[in-house]
Parts: sequence; structure tokens; C-alpha cells
Amino acid sequence: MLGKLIKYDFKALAKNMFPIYALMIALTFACSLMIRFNLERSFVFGIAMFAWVVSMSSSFAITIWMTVMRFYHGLLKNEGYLSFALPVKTATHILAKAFNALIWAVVEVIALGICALIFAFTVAPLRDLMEAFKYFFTIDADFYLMLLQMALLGALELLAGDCLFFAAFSIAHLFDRHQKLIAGVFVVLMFILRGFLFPPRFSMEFGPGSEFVLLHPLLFIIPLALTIVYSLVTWYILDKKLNLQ
Amino acid sequence: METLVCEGLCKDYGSIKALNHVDLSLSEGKIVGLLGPNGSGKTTLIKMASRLLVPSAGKITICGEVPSEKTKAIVSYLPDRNVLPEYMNCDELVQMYQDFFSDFESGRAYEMLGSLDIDPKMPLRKMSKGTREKVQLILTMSRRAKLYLLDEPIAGVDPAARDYILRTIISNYDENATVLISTHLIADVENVLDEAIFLKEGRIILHENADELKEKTGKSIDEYFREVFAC
Repeated sequence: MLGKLIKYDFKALAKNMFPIYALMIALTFACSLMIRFNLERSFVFGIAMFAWVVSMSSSFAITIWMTVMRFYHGLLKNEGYLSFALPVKTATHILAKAFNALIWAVVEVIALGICALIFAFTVAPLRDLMEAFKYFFTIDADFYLMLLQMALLGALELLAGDCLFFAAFSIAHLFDRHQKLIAGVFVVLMFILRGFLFPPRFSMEFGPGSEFVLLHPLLFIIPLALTIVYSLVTWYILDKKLNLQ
Repeated sequence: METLVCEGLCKDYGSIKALNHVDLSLSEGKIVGLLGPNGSGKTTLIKMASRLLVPSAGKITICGEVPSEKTKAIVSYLPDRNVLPEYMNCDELVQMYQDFFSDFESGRAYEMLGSLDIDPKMPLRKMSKGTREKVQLILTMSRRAKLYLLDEPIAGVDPAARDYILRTIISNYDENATVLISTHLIADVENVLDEAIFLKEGRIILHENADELKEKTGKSIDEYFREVFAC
């Protein structure tokens, strides 16, 4: 059932997200071409560049917001009547939404990667690209280990963020009115509380023989623990206090 | 066997008692009318059987089980509003029902869609409100469920469509299944009912065999309902 839920959630989001990514890629291509043909001073380039910067900088926030809205509309609004009529456990619904958020974050990264490649291949001379490509093979393995840790950290933080929104909307669902406002207030409060309890710090530790850099384990444990706590809150409300009206 | 049993079932919304100690037992193979004016608790009762609401007190069981993902596999629920995703079309919805409900029969769904000339490729957002309601009913009645919970199935459609909907319900439910129809349009449904339940201010004030009730009162259920609930 989990796989089926993820499939239908993915399809629902794809209808909105793919056009956004397609626009982002098209704008990247248009801007790159204009740079390639020295049209940077044209009015059209200014407009296209502005649209490109806006789409690139907001795309991640849009992706997160859309996955959160999928949770809200799919479970707590009219579509929730259908979702909760399915023979599926509440925990499976929550898991599907969380997995979907991760999958769309990966799709977002792929879309950004495509944009970067389009930009590089259109603007830079082929010789420079070949040099850059060769350079990647000379980088120390520590760099890739660091990259892997950062990716894992990013995924965990994203999951914690999404689950915080899920919990916030579930708590707001207990109120009759102003649900989005209540959810927003709860999110802000939880961010403040988190900052107070776990002040952000970026500490590293060297592994055995100081050969590679390890991020502090707490950096992983905190978002993981928060994800579990937020998910339990969401599960409790949706399973024990569900009140679709 | 009892399909639906409620024991001392209560639902409070703050100080308002939507359901107040409801005791009810429905046996299999019956079409039951859940009748009452607006705000009498009909939708609340159906939502609790579908596990969309959690009781404040008391107990509700379906085929001996408290509502859970297990009972959802045998309950076919038609909500009182449009809940189907509007970005989907009928083909996608049929596929979705087939994916999630093992008792769903896609052949029956397509047959009913065809008889109503509904294009399975047309997205729901392009359909009229009445057509979307028909699609929702078709999907609900294309399951071989043990209990059908139909919340106001004829409220939003024209009289001609009401006849179609009632025919669809009668001709598609399994003879061992129970159909619970909530409505305040009693005249339209009373001829198909085996039993009638009158719900007033969250309490069951009458639960009788439909024919016996007509005989006893010498009135149609609609006429008797108007008498009982006269303002």
C-alpha cells in the first residue's frame, strides 16, 4: 500500500511541479544562449535573467510548500475523505507523504543539476569543460565523503522540516477556524524552541588517523529525533483525534 | 449477522451533542434509511462508521470489528460532498480504486460510466457538479462491499438523476450487503427501503421495518416523517 500511496501522491504533485521545473530549465537555456551570443545588454535578457533568478531561488521553497500542501489537502481537506476511506493505516499515509517529500527534493536537485549542465555546456568552451571534468577525478576521496555526509544531513533536515509542517497542520486541524494561521504560528514557535534547545553549530571531528572529516553525530541525531517526535504527534492526531468536517 | 452495531455511541462538539447515546443494530441484506432533518446527526454517525470521526464515548463495530483499515476494506463510503481529486479523470480513478480495493470491479464501473455517457478521459474539473456526483456514486457502487454508507446520495442532483442513482444502488448491491442511506428527501427513497431510522437531535427516536411502519401509521414514511418533525 505504501508504494501505491507514494505513486498517487507523486503523480498529483507532478502535474504542478514538472511545469515549474520545465520553466526553470527553459529560462536557464534562454539566458545561457543570450550570454553565449553576447545579448546581455538587451531588455529581454534583463527580464529573462530576473525570472531565472526568481525561479531558481524559489524553486526549493515551492517544492517544500507543495509537498506540505499535498499533505494538507490530501489528508485534512475534502480529499481526506477519500484518503481515509482507503484500507490503509494512518502511519502508512504519513510515511507516504514523508517519502514523497524526499523524492521531490531529489527531483529538485536533479532539475537544478540539469540547469547547471545546460548553463555550463552553453556558455563555457568545451576545452574548459573537459578540464573541469578531469579535475573531478583528482579530488581527494575526503571531499566525496564530506559531500555524502552533507547530502544525508540535508535529507534529514528536509525530512524534519516537512514533518514539522505535517505536525503543525495536524494540530491546527483540531481547531475549527484559522487553521493555516495556527499552523504557521506553531511552525514559528517550534523553530524558536529548536534554536533555543539546540543552538545551530557546525562542528567537525576528525576520524581515526585524521584522514577524513566527520560531521558531529548530533547534527544527524537532532533532525532524526525531531522527525520521529513530529511524526508521532501527527500520527496521534490523525489516528486518535481525526475530525474531518 | 449484524453488519453495523452501535452501543451508547456519543459524539460531542464542545457543548453540542451531535450523537447522544445511540444504540443501533443493522443486519445484513437490508436497505436502511437514516432519516432526519439537517443537524440531526446522520452524517456524524456515517463518518464514525467510516472512521473519519472518533467517538467521544460508546462503541461502534462493523462485522464485529471496531472501525480500522480492516473494516475500510469492506465498507464502501459515499461522502456528502465531492471528494474526488479534480485533476484526475475516470480512467485514473478506476485504476486507483482497483489498486486499493480488492472488491472493486472495474467492468461494472465502465458499464455504468458508459450508460451515462461519461467520457472516462475527461478530467473531473471539466465535469458538472451533478456528473461528478454520479462518478463518485459509480465508484462507490462498483465495489462488492459488505456495508455501503451513502451520505445524501441524491441531495445535489435533479429528479431524473435521482431515479438513476436509486436504480444504481438497488441493482448493484450484493444481497448479503447492508446499505445505509442518509437523506432528508424521503419521498424519493422510501420505496426502496427495508427499514427506516428516524434521528432527532442525535438520538434514535424510531427504528422500524419500512412496510410495517407504513401499515401501522397508515401513512407514507414521508408523511409520517413530516408529522414527527413538524416545526
